[in-house]
Amino acid sequence: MSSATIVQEQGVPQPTQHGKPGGVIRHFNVVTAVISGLVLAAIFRFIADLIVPAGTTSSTFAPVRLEVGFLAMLVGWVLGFMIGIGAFIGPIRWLLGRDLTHEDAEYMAGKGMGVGRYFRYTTDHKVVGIQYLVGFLVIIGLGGLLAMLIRTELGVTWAEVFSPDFYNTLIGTHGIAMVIAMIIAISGPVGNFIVPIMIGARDMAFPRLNALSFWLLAAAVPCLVASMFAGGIRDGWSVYQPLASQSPPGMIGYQMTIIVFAISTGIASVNLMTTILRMRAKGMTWARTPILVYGIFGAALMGLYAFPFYQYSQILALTDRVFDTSFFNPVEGGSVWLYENLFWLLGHPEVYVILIPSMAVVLEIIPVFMRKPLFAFGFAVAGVVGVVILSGLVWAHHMYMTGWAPFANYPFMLSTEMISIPVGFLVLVAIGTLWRGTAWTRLPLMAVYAVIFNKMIGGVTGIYLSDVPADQYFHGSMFVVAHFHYMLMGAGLFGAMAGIAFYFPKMTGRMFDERLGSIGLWTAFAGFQLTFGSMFVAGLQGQPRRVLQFDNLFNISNWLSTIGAYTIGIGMLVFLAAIIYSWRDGKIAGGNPWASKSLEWQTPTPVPLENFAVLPVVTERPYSYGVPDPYDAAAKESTGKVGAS
Amino acid sequence: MSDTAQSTPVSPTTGEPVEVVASRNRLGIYLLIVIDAMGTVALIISYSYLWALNVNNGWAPPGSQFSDFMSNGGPPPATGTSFAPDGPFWIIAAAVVLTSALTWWSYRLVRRGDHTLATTVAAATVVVAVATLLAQWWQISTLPFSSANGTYASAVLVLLSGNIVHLLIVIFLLLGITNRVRIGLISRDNPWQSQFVSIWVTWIAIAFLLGALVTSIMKVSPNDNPTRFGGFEPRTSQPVPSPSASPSGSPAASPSASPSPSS
Repeated sequence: MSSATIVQEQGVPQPTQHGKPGGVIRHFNVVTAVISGLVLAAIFRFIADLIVPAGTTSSTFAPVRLEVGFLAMLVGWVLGFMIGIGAFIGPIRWLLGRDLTHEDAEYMAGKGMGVGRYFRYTTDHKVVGIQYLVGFLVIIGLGGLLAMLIRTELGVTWAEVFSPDFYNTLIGTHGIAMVIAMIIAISGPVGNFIVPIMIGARDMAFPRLNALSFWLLAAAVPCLVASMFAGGIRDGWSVYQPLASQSPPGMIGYQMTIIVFAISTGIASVNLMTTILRMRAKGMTWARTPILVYGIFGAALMGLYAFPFYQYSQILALTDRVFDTSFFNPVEGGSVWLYENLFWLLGHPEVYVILIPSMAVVLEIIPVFMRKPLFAFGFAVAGVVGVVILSGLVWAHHMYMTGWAPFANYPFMLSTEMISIPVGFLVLVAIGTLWRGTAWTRLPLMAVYAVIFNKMIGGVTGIYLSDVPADQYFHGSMFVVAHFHYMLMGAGLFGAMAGIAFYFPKMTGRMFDERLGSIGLWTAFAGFQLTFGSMFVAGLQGQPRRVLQFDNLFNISNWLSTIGAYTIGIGMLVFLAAIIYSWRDGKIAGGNPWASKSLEWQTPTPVPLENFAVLPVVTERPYSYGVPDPYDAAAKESTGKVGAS
Repeated sequence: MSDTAQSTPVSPTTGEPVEVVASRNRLGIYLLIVIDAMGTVALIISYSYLWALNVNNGWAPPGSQFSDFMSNGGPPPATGTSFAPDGPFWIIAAAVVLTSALTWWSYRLVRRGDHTLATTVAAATVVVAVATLLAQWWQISTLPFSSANGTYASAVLVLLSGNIVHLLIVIFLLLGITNRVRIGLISRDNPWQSQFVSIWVTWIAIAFLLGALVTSIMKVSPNDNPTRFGGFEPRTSQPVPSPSASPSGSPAASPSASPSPSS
């Protein structure tokens, strides 16, 4: 037996260490980022005010100075924040030929840095995963708070709590905050923390891009918050034109958020896909790759091809507002249908960007707690592939009633109904794996039950909306709102809760408090059914969405929805309390508390900086629990190897 | 057991063989190109969509004889005075193609080990790219319209602004490559960054060519009967039929009823 020894040639010069490891980036952290962001925002605003004279108006009589000033401020903020966190140091070092030494790379990965590494431009994928988890909790907290305010307004049927403009702002900001939160809910924490370990890699393919993707998100979210102080986002999360072009400058906050978030998502997608394609452990063939990896890969792929359309819809909308172009202004030759097409080219795949990772987590959890192999693994993979392919062909079902290309309605109806087939595969695989199993009913599995229940209601009601004749009645009603909440929240958020409960021990080193977590989960689940079940009724009765005042006919449904929403809020707070309590004082977790067979559970907890002392070699399929797999038996016989080593 | 020493250059940062790191980076570049290409596709879709619809006669900028074409019922000459001239689009695209060719040449020289010539060619590439950027700026500043002059003007300006962004990225990358070739970080044993930048610049050249093609081919909108906004007058001079035109009260029942004008 021979082995290869790597010898370093003189042809590849080794960088020399200048000063302490990390170099100038040692001086950068989140505090310098915020200060730098605020300073540059003020400077940019000042310059914009100097350039644009007071009283300047566009061809549509919009006050240009305010718009340009707000845009300049946000650009200054993002640029300053990224300078202050140290994002530009890597490119500058590359330009100057000052490559990282091994010590520099270890410093940037947060070696020996303690809690401070979470507040820096740290490249370790585990740190980025935790940053994404906290970021997700913050954004969903913001979106949830706004949801409570929305339901307060709709529940108090005898009075007007907020002005119509502020109510619309609540709707728009809640919508986009929740969409962002749900997009990162699983792909962020689980995709970054778990997936590299799950495939047997030491880190992500591009560690610095990994940090960049998170900090771009961190820079984008304040733009969204700032928009609320500049007139708000009053046109829903889809910000249809030409309404959006007539909105106050707060709309620029939305546009900046999306433009920056799209860059963040694109970078994250490239990183995840490259990691999965190029860094799987030896022996991890596609048949031996866990379904979660497929799910994350599928979501990244959809983000990769679809997000640029959304980003460009906002870039063009921004130039319409600020630079007087006319892409979406029909009077000057633009088309609102162009906007709708660009928007929904991402808008619908985005549903699956949220849903597929959630379903993949569900499919990852079930075999562990049923101690059974995943039923019909091939169908699960086919489900993911089918969704990825079809998700790009369904966008116009959001436009049945807009008058755009009526001849296209029926092909899009067909493609939309067809996509329920691969989604159905995923649900059937889940049920097939649960079937006649002996359940080890722990919190992650309970969350899985919640996801499957919600997913089925969301899926079935979606078929009505995909149907052109039925959609003529349902579109623009509370029925639609209830449907997409069942999909995005019922399946997406509860899936994220399942993922958090399952991976919490590996990510934090402590067991999740299942008693408190279960109370939170089931309280939220009960509230969820009340809120959106009632909303289905209101929608069937004809209550339009996005409307502040409505007929007394809808009062009871709205009262129930509001009570349900507060119940969700209480449940979520309890779940959050469980996270915080468990993180601080939870029972110390062992390396593999669920006795799972996949690679991420074979590492010690807390996971060492390089994940594995020796890179693993995979010799069997990931779900060979309980029932002997004939394939594995044959493999063992021929190779003599057992399990993932 | 015998050890066979192989001469495998390793990455200074990760300690992995440079080929392994290069394989990942190459895939990363291809995926980044996919993202950028999708953005370019979004812009081209926007351009062609607005060109095809010509909503409210708002496609062409002023001075393109659009009113003549409306009254005569035929398309105006493609040399309408306010459309951007084709020449600069193609000249700039050709300059980017040249930049791309030079980057590949530089990469080949690095692989051959001709360090001095590779540095010189890489530096020449930077000069060409900077000149292209200046030419792009000149083209934008001399366009015969502003962003407020209709959707053609809007689309062209955004397309060209995208070119500026692309060129700035290219110049940054080429500066880096030149410096790294100069100090020997890119060498025959580890030439891959030069290859990645060449791949990227090739994509940028394709994007420029696509832009030139689209702006040259799609000038005068094919829609000479566009949807109108901002007024309520009928598009044809024929009068709107009165319901009383038919004795039966149904215009369709009468063969003499005037055809309904399209709205």
